[in-house]
Amino acid sequence: MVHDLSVTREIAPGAEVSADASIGPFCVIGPEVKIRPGTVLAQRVTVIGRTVLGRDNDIAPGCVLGAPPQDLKYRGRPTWLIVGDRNVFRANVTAHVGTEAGGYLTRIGDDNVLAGGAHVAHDCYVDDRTRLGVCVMLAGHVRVETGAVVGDYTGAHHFTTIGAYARVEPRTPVRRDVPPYTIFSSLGYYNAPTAFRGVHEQGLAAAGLSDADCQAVRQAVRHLFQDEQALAVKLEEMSAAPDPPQPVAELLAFCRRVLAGTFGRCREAFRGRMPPEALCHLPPEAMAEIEGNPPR
Amino acid sequence: MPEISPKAVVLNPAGLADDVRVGAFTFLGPDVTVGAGTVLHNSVTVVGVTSLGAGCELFPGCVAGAPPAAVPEARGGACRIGDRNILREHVFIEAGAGGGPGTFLGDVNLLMVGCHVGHDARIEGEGIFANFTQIDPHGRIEKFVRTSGLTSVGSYATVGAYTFTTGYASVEADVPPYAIVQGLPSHVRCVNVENLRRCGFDEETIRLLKASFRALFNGRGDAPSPRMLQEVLEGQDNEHVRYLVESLRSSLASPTGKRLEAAGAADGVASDGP
Repeated sequence: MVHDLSVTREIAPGAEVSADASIGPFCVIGPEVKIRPGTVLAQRVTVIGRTVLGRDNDIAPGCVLGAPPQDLKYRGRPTWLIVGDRNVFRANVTAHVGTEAGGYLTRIGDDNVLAGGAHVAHDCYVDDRTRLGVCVMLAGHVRVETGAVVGDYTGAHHFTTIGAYARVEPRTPVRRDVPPYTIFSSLGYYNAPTAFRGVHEQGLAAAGLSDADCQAVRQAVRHLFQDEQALAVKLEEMSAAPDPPQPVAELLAFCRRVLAGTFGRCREAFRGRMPPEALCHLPPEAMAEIEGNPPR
Repeated sequence: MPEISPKAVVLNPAGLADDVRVGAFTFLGPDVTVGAGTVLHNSVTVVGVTSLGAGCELFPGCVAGAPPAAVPEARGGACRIGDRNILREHVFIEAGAGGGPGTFLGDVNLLMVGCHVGHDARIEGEGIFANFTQIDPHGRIEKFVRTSGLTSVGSYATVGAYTFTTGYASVEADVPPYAIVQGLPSHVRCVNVENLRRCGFDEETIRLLKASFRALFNGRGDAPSPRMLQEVLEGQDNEHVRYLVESLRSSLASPTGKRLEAAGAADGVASDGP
């Protein structure tokens, strides 16, 4: 049976949908959306706003991508949602476009899996190969670095960073930055301080580090976080050691950024400012349009 | 003429005000009325005896007026949604269970992605509800309440005006007005000073509320004694302190800590309670 595609889909004129993309019934595509080849939209998917979906993404029923931010400061200027390649979005995932004050861009990289109901708010940066659990709530301006695993029903506060290859346990309120390669949890007690629970071994494996690097990271992580009080002192000691392996140097740099930030959140520095990720990832036509519309 | 997408299904076009906009694949049932200027994006479902006020915006995936999840056989309960409400993606508002007061959402609320409002719940207005806030059947939310993600409000529980619930807070009995509450079960942490300032409270009132909170709450969730409530009232005549004490008194008068379940509670709510 051949369906009349024009009846069961609403694809606005102006939308650039690749002929090799598959758009299921009851999908709605807005006029400024770009969808690249190989991306599959199941049924009842809504893609609106200035949204770009890369290649070979798999979008499940009920997803709504590119809706305006929930930030009450958003004034309705053009802002973007850019999704890379080979991501899997399960049912009812929502992702919003950026805000003017947050850098105009929400970005989801490549090879991520977002479980059902996960929410990526305005101005978030989700890097590559992350796993977001069921109903994970990323507040605005959050960054999830490469390979991080975020458990079901976990909520991340505005401007937090979840470090590379870290794991956040289910139902954990993330109020401050989670360092790379660590496991963070509040053990299910919502009042308990969210705290370091160990080294994320699967993360180390997924990062593909050499055995020597793994051992160095394990030692550094344990040394830095098992007694959190003296982080600044320990950081200074470790920084004195010459020539640390690359992943350890990155871990130390992360911790220095957190200490330099406010409330344990390094991205607080980007409140009301354009974060460097936006300058990296905004497409040239977006930059031209923003320059034509400077923030008030 | 309302602007209705040819791909929408509207069973009662006469119930739509003149400048209503309805997107593709949206379904509006036969007993639905919609006020002026309301925008229903695509893939919205509004059924049951549901009235939507003016200037509302409903995002894709919203469902309003569907039969309650807990009593699927219920029919005919009303769902009344006031003016200038924003219902984000996948918000679900149940219809009343029939015989009860019906589900009521006042004016100027923002319900973020995935919020759920149970049957016969009452949200008085000016509220901001973060993602996945769950308001159970017959829950009551007074004005100017703010919730964080995954807050749940139990059935027949009341959240007082101007109160803020932190992430994952579980409101199992009434929580007082003007407070920040946290935890499972939730208890009072402090005065919601930031919200009070944003809502234009003067510093003298905030100072009085802080002093009252210090006298009434010990931070461990224990209920204040009637003697403490009386002491707080003495020597001052601030309407907000009075309202705080009245709210606490009516909640504490109920054995469950929920004033809507107290003997003789208004509008017959208590009679069909558990």
